Amino acid sequence: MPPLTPPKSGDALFASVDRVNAELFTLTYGAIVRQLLTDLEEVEEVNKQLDQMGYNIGTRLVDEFLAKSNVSNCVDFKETADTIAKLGFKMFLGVTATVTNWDAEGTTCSFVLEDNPLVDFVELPDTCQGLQYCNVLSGVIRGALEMVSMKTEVTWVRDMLRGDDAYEMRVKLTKQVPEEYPYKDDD
Amino acid sequence: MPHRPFFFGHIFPAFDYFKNRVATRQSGYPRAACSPRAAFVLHQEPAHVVRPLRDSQSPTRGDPVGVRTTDVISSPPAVSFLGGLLSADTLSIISTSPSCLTMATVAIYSLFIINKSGGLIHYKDYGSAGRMDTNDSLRLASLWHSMHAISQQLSPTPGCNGIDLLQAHNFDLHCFQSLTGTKFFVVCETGAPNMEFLLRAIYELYTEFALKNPFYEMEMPIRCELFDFNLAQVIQKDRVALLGR
Repeated sequence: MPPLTPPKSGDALFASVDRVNAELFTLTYGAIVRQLLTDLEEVEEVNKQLDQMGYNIGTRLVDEFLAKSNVSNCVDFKETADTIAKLGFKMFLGVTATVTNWDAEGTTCSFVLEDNPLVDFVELPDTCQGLQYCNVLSGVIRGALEMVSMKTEVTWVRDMLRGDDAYEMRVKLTKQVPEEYPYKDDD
Repeated sequence: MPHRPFFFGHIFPAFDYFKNRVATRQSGYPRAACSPRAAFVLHQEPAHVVRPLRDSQSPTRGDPVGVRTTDVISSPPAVSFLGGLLSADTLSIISTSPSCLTMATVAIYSLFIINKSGGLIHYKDYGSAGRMDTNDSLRLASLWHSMHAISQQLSPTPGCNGIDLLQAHNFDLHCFQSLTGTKFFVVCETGAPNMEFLLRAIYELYTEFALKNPFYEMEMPIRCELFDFNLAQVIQKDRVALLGR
């Protein structure tokens, strides 16, 4: 069914959803990461847990995004990436990402975030050098895209907490799996 | 006194509407706000014919829709006036013969929500007609899931998104499938308007109260009180807007 109202712009979308205090959000996320570090002790384990948490969030988040933003089917992965960067990030984090570094086939791109509300006030100590602090975001993107039948791999390329100038995550579309009804299952 | 058309664009919960209507009958019409769901309500004197939904002050939580119905008795000429006043793309909802009015008191007969694999996660019926037990509703849900998928295969052109509307002799079935594969469909009276908006509103409620509940397991039957409560409110508002009661 086509959308009944025209899709909203990023700012209109951000204005229409309930918002929460940014510090509360940042501090809550920081508390989660600290607690995971205390419980799991291994930085790799923490990274995996953050990704899993993000995945669970993403599978639920995507329906809310689709319901509120009224977007229709994206024609190709380029459109998907633009929608995520302009509408998705704006709606949930209040920041817009830019999409860069497309590869030749159009299946891999980078999301660049100049401003990231998760990492306000954060400095990584030397003991946690392998920690992907924002790994939850990669899980969210992976989970959300999986619910709309796109399997992806997301990795972090640049991280401001490690001294780079921006946050960059590389999203690679590995498989597109539309739901096929197996009505020929007697074959 | 002649029949007076009564315009309310501002959607009250049913009992509030009646309280206000009785209060304002002498003083004039309540303020009309623009609303896409505005409906004209015709009532004839004396006003006590229209009975409030409840005597208590507020609907208690979990009050199922339709626990007590109101009876609006309209004469046939008034009803055709009502039919004419409704927006152009709707048919008259209230039938002209009084004996059919109890059948026509609900616009929606039932609501189904199915997950992406075709399993029924929510079923609610609102009318006394077409009530079915759990097994039948499960069967119907998976049947509809199959039909919806087959229709995409049957399409002569690629890019078909499945069945939006099924019109039968005495009911309509409106279906909305989200991009994640969850289907919301409602069995309603023929010609009931704005069902697509209702389905979108229910989709938003699903994302708000079912998906955001951390204890709700995805693809499982929805057992969230907040979802049921808000759903009942939305359906009630829809009914009040459409049928004016």
